[in-house]
Amino acid sequence: MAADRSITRSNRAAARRAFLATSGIYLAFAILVIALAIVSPAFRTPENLINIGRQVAVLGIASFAMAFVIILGEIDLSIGAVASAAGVVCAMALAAGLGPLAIPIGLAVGAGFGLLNGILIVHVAVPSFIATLVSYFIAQGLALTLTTGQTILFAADWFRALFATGTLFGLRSALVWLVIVFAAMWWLLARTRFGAHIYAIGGSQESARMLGLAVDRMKIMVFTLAGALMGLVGMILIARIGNARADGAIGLEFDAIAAVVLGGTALGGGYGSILRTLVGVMLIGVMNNGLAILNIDFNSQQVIKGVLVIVIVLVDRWARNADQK
Amino acid sequence: MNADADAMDGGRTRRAARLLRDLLPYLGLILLVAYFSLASDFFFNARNFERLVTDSATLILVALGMTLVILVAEIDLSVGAVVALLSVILAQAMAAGLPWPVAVLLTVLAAMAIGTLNGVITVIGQIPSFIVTLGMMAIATGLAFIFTGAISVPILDETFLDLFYSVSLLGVPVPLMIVVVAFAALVVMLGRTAFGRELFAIGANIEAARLSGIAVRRNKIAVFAVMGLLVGVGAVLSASRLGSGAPGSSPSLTLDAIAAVIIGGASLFGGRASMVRTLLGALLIAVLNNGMVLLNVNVDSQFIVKGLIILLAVVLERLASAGGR
Amino acid sequence: MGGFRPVSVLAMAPVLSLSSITKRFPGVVALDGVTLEIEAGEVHAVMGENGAGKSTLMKIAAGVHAPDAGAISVAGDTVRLRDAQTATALGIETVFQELTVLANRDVAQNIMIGVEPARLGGLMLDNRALYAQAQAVLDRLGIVIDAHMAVARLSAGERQMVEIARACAGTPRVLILDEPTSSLGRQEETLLFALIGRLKAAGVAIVYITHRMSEVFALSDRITVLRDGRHVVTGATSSFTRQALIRAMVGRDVEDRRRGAAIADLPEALTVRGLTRRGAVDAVDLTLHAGEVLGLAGLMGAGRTELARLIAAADKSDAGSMTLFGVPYQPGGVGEAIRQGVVYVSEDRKELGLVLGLSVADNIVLPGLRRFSRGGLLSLGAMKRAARQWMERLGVKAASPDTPVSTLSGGNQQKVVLAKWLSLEPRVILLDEPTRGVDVGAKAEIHERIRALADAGAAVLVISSELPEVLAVCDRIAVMAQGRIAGIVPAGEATEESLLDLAFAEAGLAVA
Repeated sequence: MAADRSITRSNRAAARRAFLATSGIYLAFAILVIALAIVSPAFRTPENLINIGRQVAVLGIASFAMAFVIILGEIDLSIGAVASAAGVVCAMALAAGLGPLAIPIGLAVGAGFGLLNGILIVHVAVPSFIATLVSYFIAQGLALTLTTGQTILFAADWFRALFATGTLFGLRSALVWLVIVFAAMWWLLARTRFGAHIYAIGGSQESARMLGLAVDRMKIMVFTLAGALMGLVGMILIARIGNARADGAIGLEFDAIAAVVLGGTALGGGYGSILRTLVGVMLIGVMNNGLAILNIDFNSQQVIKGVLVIVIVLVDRWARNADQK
Repeated sequence: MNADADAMDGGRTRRAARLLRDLLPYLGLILLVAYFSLASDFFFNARNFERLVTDSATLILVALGMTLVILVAEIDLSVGAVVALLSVILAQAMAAGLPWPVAVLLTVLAAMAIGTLNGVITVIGQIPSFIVTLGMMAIATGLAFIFTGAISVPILDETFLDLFYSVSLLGVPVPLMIVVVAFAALVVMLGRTAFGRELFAIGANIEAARLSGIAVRRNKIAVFAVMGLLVGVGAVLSASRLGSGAPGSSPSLTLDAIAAVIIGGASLFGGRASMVRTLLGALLIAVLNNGMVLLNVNVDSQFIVKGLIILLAVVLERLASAGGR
Repeated sequence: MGGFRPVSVLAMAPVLSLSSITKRFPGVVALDGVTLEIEAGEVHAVMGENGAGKSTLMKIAAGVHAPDAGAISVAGDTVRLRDAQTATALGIETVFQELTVLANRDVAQNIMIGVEPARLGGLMLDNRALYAQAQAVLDRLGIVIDAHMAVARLSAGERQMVEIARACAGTPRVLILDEPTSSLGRQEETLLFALIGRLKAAGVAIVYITHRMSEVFALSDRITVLRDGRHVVTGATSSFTRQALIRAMVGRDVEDRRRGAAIADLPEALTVRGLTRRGAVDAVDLTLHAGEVLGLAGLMGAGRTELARLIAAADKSDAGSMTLFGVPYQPGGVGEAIRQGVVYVSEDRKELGLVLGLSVADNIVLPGLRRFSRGGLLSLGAMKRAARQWMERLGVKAASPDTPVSTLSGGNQQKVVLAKWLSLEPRVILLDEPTRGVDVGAKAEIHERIRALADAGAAVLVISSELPEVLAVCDRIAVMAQGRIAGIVPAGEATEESLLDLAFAEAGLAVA
């Protein structure tokens, strides 16, 4: 154990850096919205703003799941493939006439892959990026094999209404799901013992173990929860377009990581919040929408997001290093 | 003392698992070759074997590079996307009228620059390599599609195509020759140079390595640069085999390369890896790819098969080292 | 102080009993059939040198490690401590030596961890109650810290107090304190001692681990001494004298080995002027002569390791200058320091000294690997010969140079560490706790080797927490406190008491 070096207390520079680091994301968000509003009249129509909300439903739920995993000090690269696989299985269940039974089936596929991740990480002691990479490929293989490259059609209007196309209080149901999941995940992380222990484990796994927290069980639970949410995401995806494709949610993990780190959650665990993750999600949503309006194609968006993730993580690391000095 | 512990409970399972882990690449390869030989009339002949290795030259080179990266406890998730991007750069350089040797040199230099960049951001920026290379993956994929407009760029230079694909020197196809030379060089580098030996120490205990006076950061960046070099050569071979620069080529290259290293018994926490065993692992994947095509197995279920093989390998690794942690 | 205990307590079963506990780690037997019985309302000091097995025993009582053999009972009932949670549920609370305070949480969240006030089985945290209860705990203990403070903003001493508050938040039956005063200032120490008195009066059993003699005699009712993983003696504190206690810990009378050589006549090897690293090392001046062994004593956290790491360029300094044999010495990194003949041998053998996954030979040649390179290729034969030669020279007991170093005993591993650094033939060698966790035989061999090094002309710095060791091996002894050199005395004039006085005097000054 190296000696503690916190003799120098919070000096003014550190406080300023901490303020910049925490408020930077809101500032960036405001600047982006204002800039887009000035540049593009199409952006500032009410329809477009509702449009953005609908687009971020899937990303939002995925990002909340990812935030849990990252605050815990792990990573999940499997979420896009798992959501696709859950969607495909669910669509096949609907097409086979299983009716409402398709919903628990879809959730179970997601939760099953989450459980596999958790068991691999805890009991096989595989680093999470490898464990979830394995799940990624098994889930993708499953989805591709089941669909044999085709689109799976199903006729279940109630299902589509329930997960995407219906409205409640004037909100599309996909957006309602986002609100529900946001509230539940925020509550879970900020207001329950479960959440408090996620932060503790992310802060120091060894300390948490010595303090008597059930570290292994918590990890398996968090990954299973993330997997179940990916089941929900898969169902929203297929409900939105009325069919299922094996690559329905490809690349979702990358956008989710981007949203989470944009929201100021540290890779490595222990810090972050659902509220700030939501801001990160909105930022990605507004950016995607704005870039589309400005006629910047999907590929350029990918490049921009790739650079953005690296830069954000670098800046975050720099701010934390400076803070520790 | 240790022998005592071994003789006690679990010692037998652990020894069996260790034996199985060590034999996995050999046993797996023999079993697969035997199986495909019985199942397909076209598998077991010299012509097919030659094609098998030639076709997998890119995979083998990238897997050898990945061995170094995993040895120092890092990962590179960008290789598949970077190979695609490089093949596009190569094809476009030739389409722009550059003579093929210049285009090849340009490609390899670009590859080394990308690898070095991955290394510098990871090491100097102190960011987990899976995030850096995930970002690089998005950037490379995006750029490849932007450069081409999603259309393959044909390579028309006959000399280039012949040299790398149909001409043979001393009866050995050029890709095979490159693989042999690269393999030999890497085996010598890892076993017989100070640089190679230091990598084992860096991977097993980075702080102890640093306190032993090893230039940890420089060595790690060098590993990423060597990885870049191998990726570059792999991309040239890939482009010559396909006869074009295709933005969507090699979708499973990253997984295949990681799978080869894991099947080869490398520790995912760094410090243990072997070129010979990775080569066997890569051949095993190559045989699997080739055999499944010959047997008309759905290409998509290959993902599941490979995922399960990695799963087997990591479980064996865990059983073999149980109690050591 | 303390012999008083109600008679009824004596008739009852001990509140915590560890009997015949054995614990092995790869390569070492940490505990060998140790028995410890703790009674309600007593302060029981557990003493022993570093590596005697105190912390391991406490981790077993806390449920962190499972014993390989032996039984544990709480208030007469045999229990199995599956994990830390089970121990806590039984009322055994521990303040670990390596602080478990979570820097990413605030004070209240740390104090109430695991017992956060909540409804619906933890689904509705009551934050108001969380802060109120945590603040109540702090107030009850007389600790002046706001429960809302982020732990990241607290000093080391304040973190220690938070940790103690966490352990006392529930109603512990047994409170284990492992080196609780190592990072405390005088005021906080007084607070802690008063607290221990109150807990004891309330019937809490307290297990107290410390290196500080004065604390033991002032606070404890009984003392148990461990040595090399074995139980040596248990008895009432009043039955021990200071000298008897030291003898029990060390296992022999401390013989004084004093050298009369005039240090000033020896050539200066390394001079350090104003060396500073913020928060750790404060303007240190030091001269190390070729041919001398300079001891560096001080309490934990006094900055000794940090100073050695600065000299070896393992960390960057903020200010100061150094010369090596009269030439300015400004290494940019460990590699450069090694090339100039300055090596640092870490205290943490397993984490920093060795690469456990590699063989004995690979570990020995590691820092000098590039010297075996001929035209870019390593000469494997020469490497193996060199390794074998150094194994013989230091008496490393291993089947072959290819044996994995992880299978060796602690003493042999330490010899491998020494071989690794001595094979570079350094001019200045900085040894950090060179005999921690090694058995008595190996310890004597290492001491002889250290003397031989100096006699051969090397400049040797030995950091050690064992004052008898420092007194026996060194020519001069520098004492550090609060990042500064509090004094340098010839070993012939020093006693344990005078060294401790130096270590504490400066600490007292800094607090006032």
